[in-house]
Amino acid sequence: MEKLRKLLTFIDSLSEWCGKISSWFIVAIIGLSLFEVFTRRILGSPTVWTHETLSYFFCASILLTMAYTLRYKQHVSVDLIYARFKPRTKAVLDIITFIAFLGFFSFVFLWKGIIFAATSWAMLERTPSAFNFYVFPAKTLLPLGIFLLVIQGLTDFIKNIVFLARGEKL
Amino acid sequence: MMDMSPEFVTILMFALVLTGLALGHPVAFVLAGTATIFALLGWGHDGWYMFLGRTFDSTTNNILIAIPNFVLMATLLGKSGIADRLFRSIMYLLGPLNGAIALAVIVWCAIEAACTGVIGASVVSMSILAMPVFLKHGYDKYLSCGSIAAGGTLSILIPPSVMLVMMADQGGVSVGKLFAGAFGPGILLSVFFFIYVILLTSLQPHKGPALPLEERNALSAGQKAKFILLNMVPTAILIIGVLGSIWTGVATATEASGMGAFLALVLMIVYRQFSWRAFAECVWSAARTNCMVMTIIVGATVFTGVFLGLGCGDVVTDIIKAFGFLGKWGMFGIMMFIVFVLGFMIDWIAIIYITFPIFLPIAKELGFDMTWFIVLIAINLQASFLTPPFGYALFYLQATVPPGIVLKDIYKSVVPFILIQLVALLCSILFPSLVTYLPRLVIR
Repeated sequence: MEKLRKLLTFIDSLSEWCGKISSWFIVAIIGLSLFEVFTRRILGSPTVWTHETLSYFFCASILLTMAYTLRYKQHVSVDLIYARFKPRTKAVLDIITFIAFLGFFSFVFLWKGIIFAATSWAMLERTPSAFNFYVFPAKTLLPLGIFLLVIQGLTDFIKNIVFLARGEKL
Repeated sequence: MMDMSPEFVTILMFALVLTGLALGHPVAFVLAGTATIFALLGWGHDGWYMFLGRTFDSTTNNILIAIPNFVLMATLLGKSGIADRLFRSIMYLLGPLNGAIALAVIVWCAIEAACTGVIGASVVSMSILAMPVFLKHGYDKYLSCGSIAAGGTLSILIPPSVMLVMMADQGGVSVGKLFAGAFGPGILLSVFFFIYVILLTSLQPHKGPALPLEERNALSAGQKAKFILLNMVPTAILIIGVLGSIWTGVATATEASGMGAFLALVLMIVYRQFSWRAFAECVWSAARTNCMVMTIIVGATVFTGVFLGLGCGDVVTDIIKAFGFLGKWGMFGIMMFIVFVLGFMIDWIAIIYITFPIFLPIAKELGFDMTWFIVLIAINLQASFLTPPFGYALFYLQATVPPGIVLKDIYKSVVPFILIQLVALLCSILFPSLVTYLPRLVIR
């Protein structure tokens, strides 16, 4: 039990740190947008790389914060009915919905996502633009982000099972 | 599965979504989960591969990059304390009128709406600021709650708006044109809210008295003028900087949103609210909001991919075309009705991503102006922010109201404002140039 608790705490802090660090991609996006306006409008010489770099930063800022957002329960849900249930009922419902929705699609996204990223790695895929940069780092973010999300989701799943089995909150 | 009729699949898919939502699972996950299950039933596991492409496209979409920027901009403005000062400035200006505080809330919300594009920030900060003032002056609780909730939803219509950014992405109309199109109805709606409060408080002054004389005279006229100027000018610069640069074509919407966030940071520093800690908190909170929004977009695009792929889109199209005997306005009416009803059931982001691929081709075929059509859906969806269960404005308000005001009071308080929104919708249908005039002047 002590080991399990440690593992759960580790996952929580992994989500936390990964999310907090990746959040700064938004600041980078803003900095790059300003740089783009400056080079294009004031210097009159736009750079080829900003456009795609912006998209990749955006991608990272979303995918790597999914687990962090889940940890703070900030993925919007409707609790009009849910809020009225007893804690045990909530735990049972959470287990069911995890298996049916979050758990199931994460498994699928992870499985297909690895193939998706691996295909890109195998052919060292590049973008068809003037920048012609590699695509695989961005595509790798997909399975990585989903992996972080699903292990964060699993911590709640395990907590709920322990709660139902032993009546204690981890 | 293959032998099930698309009509049946349509019903099943919606039923599963509604069940998942009712059980309290996050919207984004319910949509993605439903898509996963039905793709498997329809096509086997090969059907899943398209999920990745769709997710990758949404998360690297160049139009949607404006979303985190606008969110961070709102968060920074919230921390800068400018909201408080602006609100007081407007209260000084409107003090002698009946219902002064409610009027100030509405004007403040309209100005704030022109600075930011997300609703949560304005409802929360307005409620925290204005509620104590309302209570102190004995305002009617329905008027107090209603004006904050309804005023807060203006930020979703008056540009810049995150919702319009998404609609531009889905609708193939430029962000600048949509921003221009929604400007007229947004201002009209603010004016309607304003007139409503004036009428109500002049008929029943006890519901919203003017500001007491001693409070109005606490500052001299010169001090007041200075205070008002000092707080209005930076806000005006921010608004003109963002909207002006989009409309004149100096910057794309994405770049303008980046500049807006930067200006908000400058304001935070100027008003001496900057610390690295506070800045980091803003960045983290903006990242979570952005992630929440974008995850729903991903869930909704994946859902729509399966929904359309299984032929359910055609089912909806057939339903709409069945109203063809009423002419193009009959079909228009049923599309608006579907959006309005969906507002009671699912999240607004999901509504945009599910209905747009089905409705826009029909609207195009019927010869409607695209900008006009999309802005009308925006006005319509704005009402969904005030209707349960997905009335975000109501959630945010509920989280911040003082004890003694219950959810039922809040529900009741927004009813007149929802009716006003329907009137505004009607005005935009009867006088389409309200929507279409500005976009014609705009470069991009």
